[in-house]
Amino acid sequence: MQLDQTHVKVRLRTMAEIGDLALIMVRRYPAAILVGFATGAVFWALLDLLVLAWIPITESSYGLDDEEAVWEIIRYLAWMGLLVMLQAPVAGVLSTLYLGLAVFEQRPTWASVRTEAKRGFKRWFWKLGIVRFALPPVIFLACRWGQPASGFWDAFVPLVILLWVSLVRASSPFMPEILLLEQCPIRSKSPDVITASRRSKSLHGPMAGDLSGRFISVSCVLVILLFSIGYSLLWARGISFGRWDVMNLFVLLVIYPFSLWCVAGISVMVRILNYLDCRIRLEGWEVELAVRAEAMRQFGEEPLAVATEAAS
Amino acid sequence: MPSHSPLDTTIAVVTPENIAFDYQLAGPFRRMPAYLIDLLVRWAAIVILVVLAFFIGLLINIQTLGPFVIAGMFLTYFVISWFYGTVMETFFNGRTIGKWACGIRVIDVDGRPINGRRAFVRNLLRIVDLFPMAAPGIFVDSDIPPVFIIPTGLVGLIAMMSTKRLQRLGDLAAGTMVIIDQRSWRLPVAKVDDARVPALASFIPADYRISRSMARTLAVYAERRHYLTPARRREVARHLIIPLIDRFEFRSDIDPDLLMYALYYKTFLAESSAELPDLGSLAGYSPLRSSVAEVMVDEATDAEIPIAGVVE
Repeated sequence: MQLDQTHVKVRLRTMAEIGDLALIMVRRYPAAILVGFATGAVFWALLDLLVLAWIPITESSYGLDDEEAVWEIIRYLAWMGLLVMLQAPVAGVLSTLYLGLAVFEQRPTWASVRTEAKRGFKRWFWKLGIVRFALPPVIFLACRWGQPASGFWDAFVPLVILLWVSLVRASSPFMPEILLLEQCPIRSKSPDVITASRRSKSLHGPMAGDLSGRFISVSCVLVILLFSIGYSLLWARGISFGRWDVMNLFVLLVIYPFSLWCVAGISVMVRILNYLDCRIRLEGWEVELAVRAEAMRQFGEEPLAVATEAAS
Repeated sequence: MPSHSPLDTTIAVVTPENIAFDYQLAGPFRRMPAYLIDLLVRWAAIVILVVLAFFIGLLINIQTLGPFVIAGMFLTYFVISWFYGTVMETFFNGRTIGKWACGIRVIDVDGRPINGRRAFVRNLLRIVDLFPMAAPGIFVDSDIPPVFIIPTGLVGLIAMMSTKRLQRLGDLAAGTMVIIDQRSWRLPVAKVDDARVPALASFIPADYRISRSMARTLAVYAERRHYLTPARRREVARHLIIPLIDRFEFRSDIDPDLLMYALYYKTFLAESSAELPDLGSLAGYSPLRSSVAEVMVDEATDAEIPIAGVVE
C-alpha cells in the first residue's frame, strides 16, 4: 500500500469544500450510500416505524385534519426526526468503514467491511447504540405504545435528549471514526493504551470551538437539505398522481422518514470528510502519510514499525 | 477526471493554447452563499429603484403617470431579475457581486473567460436548476392560492452531483463551470532562521542524494510543521529520521524534527547561503557518533537549545 497514493486527496479543506467533496464521494462511491447506509438504515427505520407508526395510523381513522390530531402528528414528526438523528451514526457504521477503506483502496470489498464491522461489534454498538442513545428511546417509545401525547414525555423528554445529544455530538463528533477506523478500545487497564475516550480528548479537545461551530453550520445546511428533499418528493408525488395534500399517511410514513434517512446518509459522508480534515489540521495527517510513504520507499518496510516489533 | 486520480474538487484543463491549469471547482456549497448575496443585491436594487420610481411618480403626477410607473417597476423587476447575472458575468470576467465576494468565477470548460452568449444561456436556465419551487402556504390550510417562491434547488444539486465539473444544467447548456478564483497552489519556500539547522545540515553526508519524492515530502513537512506541536513534529519525523540517523551515523538522540528541517534546508536553501551563520555556543558541535565533541550549552541563557531531542 502506497500511503501517500490515497484515493481521496488528503489536503486542508474549507467547510464548503468538504460539502462539495461529499457530493463527489456520493457519485464515486454510490455503493457506500445505496448499500452500506441503506443496509444499516433499514433496520432502524423499521424499528422506528414499529414504535411510532401507530400514531398517524390511529389518528387517520378519526381524520388527520382535526385539532387533536395535529398535536399527535407533531408528536410523531418530532420523535421520528429525533430518532433518525440519534440513529444516523450507528446506521452509518458500514458506510463509515467502507469510506475509511476507500481512502486507501480503489474499491473496498463488502466482505472486508462486514468482517471489520463484526470484529468491533460490541465496541461500536455499546458506544453508538446504547451510550449515544440510539436504542434507549426506541425502548422508551415501545413502552409508551398506544398512550396519548403528554407534555412531559413527548415534549420535555425529547427536548432534553436533543439538547444532550447535540452537546455530546458537537463536542466529540468523530467518536464513530475513532471506534471504527482507529479501532480504539473502550477501556483498558494499561495507561499506555489509547482508549476511545483518551483519543477523543486528544482529537476533539484542541479543536472544541471549531468543531462546535462546524456542527452548527452543518446542522443548518442539513435542515435546509431535508426541506429540499422532502418538498421535492412531495412535488414529484403531486406531479405524478395529482395529490398535493400533506396530511396524508403516505407522506407521514414514507416521504418524511425517507427524507430524514437521505439527509442522515449525507451527514455520514460529511462527518467522515470532516474527520479527515480535523486530523489534517490538528495532526498533520497528510504530512505523516507522506513521511511514512517516503520511509517505506527508502528503507523497504515501514522501518519504525519493524523497529517497534523487534523491541517488543 | 480519470478514475486513478485521487478524489478531489479539482480539474485539470488544457486551454486551446496548450497551457495546462489545475482549477479548483466550486460546488453547490461554495456557490450557495454567492447566490444568496446576489439575491440580496438584486432585491436591494429592485427595492431602491421601485421606491425611486414611486417618489418620481408622486412628484410629477401619480394620477397621469401612475400606470407608467407601475409598468416601469415591473419592467425593472424583470430586467434586474433576468439580466443581472448575464451582464455582470459578461463584463466582470465571469463574476457577479456574490461570486466576487465568495472568491469564485465562471469560465468556459476550456478554461477561457466566459462570453455574453454563454452568460445569457447559463443565467436563463437558472430557474430550471432552482426547481422545484416550494410555496409557503402549501403546509397550511389557506384560501390564498399558493405562491411558488422558495427554490429547493434539487434539480441543480443532482445535476452538479452527476457531472465531473460540478455543473448545473445552465452550465451544461452553456459549456461553463464555476471555479475558485485561484490558479494553483505552490508551496512557499520556508524561511529557516534557526542557527542549528544549517549547522546540522552541514553534517549530512554529501553522498546522500535527495530524490524528487523526498524533496516533495520535505517541502510538505516544512510547510506544515509550524502548525503542529513540537511533540507531534517529532512523532511524524521519526518515521523517516530514525533509519536516516543510522544511515548518517548520527547520535541517536538527535531531534527528528530538527534533522528533517536540516534536510529541507540542504535540499532547497543551502546553495543560496554563502556561509554558515554564527553558531554561537553550538560552534564545534558534531552530531556524529564517532565525534567526541559535545554540545556546550550555556545554562544561563535560554537561547541555546541543544540539537539533541527526545527520541522515544
